[in-house]
Amino acid sequence: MKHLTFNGGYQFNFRGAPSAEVVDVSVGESLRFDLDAGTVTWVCEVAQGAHVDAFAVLARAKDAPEVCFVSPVAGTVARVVVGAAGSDEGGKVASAELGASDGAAGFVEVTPDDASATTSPEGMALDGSWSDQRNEARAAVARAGLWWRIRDGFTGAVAGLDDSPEQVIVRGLFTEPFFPVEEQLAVERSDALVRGLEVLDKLAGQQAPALVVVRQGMPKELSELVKVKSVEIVEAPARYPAENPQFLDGLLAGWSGRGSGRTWVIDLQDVLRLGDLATTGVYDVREYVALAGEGLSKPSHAMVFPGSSISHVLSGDRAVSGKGPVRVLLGGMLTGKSVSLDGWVTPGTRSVVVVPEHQKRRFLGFLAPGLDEDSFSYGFLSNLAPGHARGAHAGLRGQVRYCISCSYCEWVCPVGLNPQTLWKLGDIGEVEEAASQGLMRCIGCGLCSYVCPAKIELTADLKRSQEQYRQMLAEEEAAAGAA
Amino acid sequence: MNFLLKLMKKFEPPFKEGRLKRWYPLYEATETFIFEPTVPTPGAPHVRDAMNTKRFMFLVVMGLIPATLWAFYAFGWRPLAVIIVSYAVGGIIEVGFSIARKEEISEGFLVTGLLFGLVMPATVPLWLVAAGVAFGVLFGKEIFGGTGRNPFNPALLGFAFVYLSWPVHMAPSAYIVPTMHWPGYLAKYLHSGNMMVDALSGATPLSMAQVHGYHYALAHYSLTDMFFGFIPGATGEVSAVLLLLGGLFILVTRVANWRIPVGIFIGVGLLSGILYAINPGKYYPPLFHFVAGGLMLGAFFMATDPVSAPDTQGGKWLYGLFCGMNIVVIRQFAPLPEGVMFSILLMNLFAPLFDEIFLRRRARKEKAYA
Repeated sequence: MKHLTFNGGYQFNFRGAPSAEVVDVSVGESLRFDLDAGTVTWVCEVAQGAHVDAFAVLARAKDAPEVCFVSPVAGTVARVVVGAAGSDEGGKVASAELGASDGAAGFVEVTPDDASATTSPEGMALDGSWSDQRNEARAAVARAGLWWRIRDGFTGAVAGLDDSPEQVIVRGLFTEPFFPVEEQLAVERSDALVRGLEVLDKLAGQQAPALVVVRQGMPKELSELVKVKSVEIVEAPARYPAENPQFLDGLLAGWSGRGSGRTWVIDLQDVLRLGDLATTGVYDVREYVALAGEGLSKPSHAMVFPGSSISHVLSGDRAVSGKGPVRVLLGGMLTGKSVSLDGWVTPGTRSVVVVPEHQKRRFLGFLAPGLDEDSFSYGFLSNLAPGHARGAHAGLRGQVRYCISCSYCEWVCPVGLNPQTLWKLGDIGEVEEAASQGLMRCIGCGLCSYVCPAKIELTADLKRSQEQYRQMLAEEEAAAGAA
Repeated sequence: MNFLLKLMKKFEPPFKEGRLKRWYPLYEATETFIFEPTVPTPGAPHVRDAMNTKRFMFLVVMGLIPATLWAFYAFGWRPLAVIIVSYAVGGIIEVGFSIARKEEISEGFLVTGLLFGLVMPATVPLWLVAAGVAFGVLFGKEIFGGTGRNPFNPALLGFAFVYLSWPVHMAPSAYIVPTMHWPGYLAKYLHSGNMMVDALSGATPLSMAQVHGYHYALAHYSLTDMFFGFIPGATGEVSAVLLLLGGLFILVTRVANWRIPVGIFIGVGLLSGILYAINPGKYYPPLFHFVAGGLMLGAFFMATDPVSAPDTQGGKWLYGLFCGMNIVVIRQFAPLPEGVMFSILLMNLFAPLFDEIFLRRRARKEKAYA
């Protein structure tokens, strides 16, 4: 067993954590999938009006046509829109936030045959049979619509079909509020997990051990269950951002030994899908997500069809509590993306978080004792009771000021960078100098922005500096090539 | 409190879009000071830490409150007038520059105004307070771009200006000897006109030690007197114990970085210990250094000003160590009785240099990762 240790990081404890209950969310009236999914660009394979079976190919990755995106349900293709809806030319709109874009490259919409279906279809045979050969196994997984769930730990893009990874990281620990606890899933479905890890071993090749990252003091069953050859359990502290793929890659592969194609990252629930696929030929298409946050009256876990509309997912019992305006996030509170209720649950989404917007203007707020404040500093009375969950809202909680050099960002930075120096260098345009200080190792976890008392958008600004530096390198290369 | 907010909002239009537009920073600062602003986060991360600059500066002020109250007990109400003038004049300059720069008024002055008042002797003329704080804020901070960009601690620069320009007002005769009898000078307003009647003036222990040796100072004031604050000195620096309390408060709340005061104490203890071991008759004992002057105020509240201190953690260690040793050097070898303020100012200048050492070290380390 390995132990993962790192400095910095932060343990969040917010109210609105999901209960252990797992709700089955029905399929809804239609499912919609963006063709630009952030890390993958899909090319639509189906025509409007066509009928598709479950697991039929809806789209293929632009860069690797073998990688398929399959329909989670049998139904009719209601709409295919290619190019940005409403804008002149598609593909131009770049997403400013982490994660997927707003359907800028178009989308596919599928209307299910039976809107009351609550579970995935069973017994649907896939094209081609399961094989023990590495390349055939990869092709089968790609065809089954699971390959895109395997990510490259260095670039964050979809893993290459001809990669020979040196290690595979299985993420079983999630610390960002509010991601589902996947360990429990693993304990409950141990057979599928064992089978899935065998499949993963086959996919990755003989030399790549699977490192299953779990919480320290994980369930005993787990260590006994995982008896697959070349699987190693890695215990990590439950501090954010222990699950960040780039971070895990850096810690487990060594920051100096990184490069694309060397590390794969896959989530534990996707390993279960691989196991099901190998055993039965199908898998549960629904995402295991957390519906959480203080904006919901009954936060819980749920099985949700990918592509469901958010208004459908957050309806009935799961409705927004209605105490003032809220912000709906796809993904966690730190790296998630703000969406409207008309949005869609992107495939691969791990949580839908509803956070209240900040509304109350407290009288002399800075003098308040602070009985319900989450803070890295110990400047509030609530710091005396660290075990209590705190309220969170989508407000800055202060005003933007120039950096006061308090060093909080350096304290929490899990990668060991000095964000304030990087930010100041970026602020005056010295991105090269910033790069020499480790700018490119920033994983964008968002902790520096979270703790900043001057409310500086460090994460976004550092990301911009990274892009500037990449652009600079590219220009230099082009100039060198021309000369 | 809703009615108050509504009332304030009535006054907003002319400031926001009207003939008083130029004064908007003043309105904005007042409104957000009284009512916490509700600005939504622009993107990921969508939630933020509750700490902000207002709270941050307020916690430093909280840490200074015990020492400030002691100043009123030991020296009468005069220090309050000094603090008020310091806040008023410095505040006007801060607001003026914010308006000229069309920026929001920053909270840094909440600390500077108080600190400057606390390093003055109780009887100092008020015009001199005004001149000092104006110089400090103007040349220590504003001309460099305001809070966050200042290379010097503005309060210290103002102090240095006053100390060097009007030495007569900072001479031993300006310092009041606190009385041991309850209720101190709590009910008195002692200024240069009436202090000879109602109180005694006297040299600070460090001035005594400089002229006659530390034994002479210890014959007048015991280490316990110095520890509790029954000695003449700048209004806010005399009670080591209350500054220690306040200092620990700002260390525990993470408002100040512990490396700096710890570094200073190590630096002072180390060098003074060595000197004392060499010649205990001439050089002050380490404990004397700790309680006799402005060390506690300087180490906890002046040197820890994060903006003028180094950014890197290693830099903070060096900054503290050198600052501490420099304090001993000035006190023992320079023609000045007290070295805390000048040491810190000097180290403010060196802060980028200390940073550079660690930035280069990091660059070498990062090269291996690239």
